Amino acid sequence: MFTLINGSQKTNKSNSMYFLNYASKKLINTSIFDLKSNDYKDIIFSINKNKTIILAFPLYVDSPTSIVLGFLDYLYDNKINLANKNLYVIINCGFKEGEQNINAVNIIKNFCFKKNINYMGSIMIGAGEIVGKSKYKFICRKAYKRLNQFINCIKQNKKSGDIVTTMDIINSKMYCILANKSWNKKAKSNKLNYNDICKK
Amino acid sequence: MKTVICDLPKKYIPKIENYNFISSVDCKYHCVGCFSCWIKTPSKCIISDEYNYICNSLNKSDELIIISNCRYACYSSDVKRVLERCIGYVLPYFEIRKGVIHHKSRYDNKLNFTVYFYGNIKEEDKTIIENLVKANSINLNAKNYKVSYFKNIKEVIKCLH
Repeated sequence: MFTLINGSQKTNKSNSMYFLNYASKKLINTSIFDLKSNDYKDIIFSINKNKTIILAFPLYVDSPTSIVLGFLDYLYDNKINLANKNLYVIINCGFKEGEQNINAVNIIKNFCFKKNINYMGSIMIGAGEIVGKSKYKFICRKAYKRLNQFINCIKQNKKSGDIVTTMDIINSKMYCILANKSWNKKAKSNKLNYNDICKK
Repeated sequence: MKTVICDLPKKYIPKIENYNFISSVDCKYHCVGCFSCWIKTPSKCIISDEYNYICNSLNKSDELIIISNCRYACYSSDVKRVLERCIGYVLPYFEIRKGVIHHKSRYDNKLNFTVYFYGNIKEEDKTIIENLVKANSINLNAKNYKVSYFKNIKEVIKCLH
């Protein structure tokens, strides 16, 4: 009944896949596909069979990933009939502000308009690295409430609108401090320090 | 010097002094999202091909020009693939600029950012395109940005000369 498509280059390890798996547990009869490791045939077969598509991807350079754009090109160039299919979008970014996903959402809306697809809505998730990790769920209550609300709309075949969400409590300044510390920690595991990372 | 990332077929790429053309058509490999260009081999993409040093090329440039086919108010997937290989141009670290979080700049130079879109571009596409290019220019910490529209590749080439 639902075709779930992951447009992240990180495939199974991605936050996008985490959100799709989360949605899949709450929906009945779902098929999940990875754009990066699929030659599209299985995906097209599933799309033809099902009414609803859920596309998830991370924000890269303020827009959908090249993997997603390549897939859209394939649908367009091969005149795949998508008329009256329903499309929902789950997009996450590393910035705290979920609003930064808006350009990518507008690009997908534009594609839907050109291909006659019913654009049903999106959830724009900020702080995706935090929200997409179950161990941080306790500081992402609002985000999960919004995500559940979004999934309920999918279940009921209703338009969700464009929902913006992010993690709770922490303000932008604190978010930057914590995120920057986490980058230093990751760099340290490669025996690099702040100065190495800032190399020109 | 000007760095030009384009999706033009090779036969259309002109030779112009001070222009470094990077054709996206031959870029086979997608960014794998490993962030090595941030935390392992800073500024350099870990995939060994001719695209892994673009950040350095950008550092030596005063302008980044993107030439791209436009289908859904976005860059072509080829151009986008190259842009994703360039994220090491900025640092992984965040800062707040005008109340919004962005990546810190790695380099001191500030680029002029120019985008030439070609194709069957409708009026309704232009608002989305301009918001996208503006967001890119802010995240690149560019000096300024400009978007132009062309019907086809030949018109773009003419404009470059």
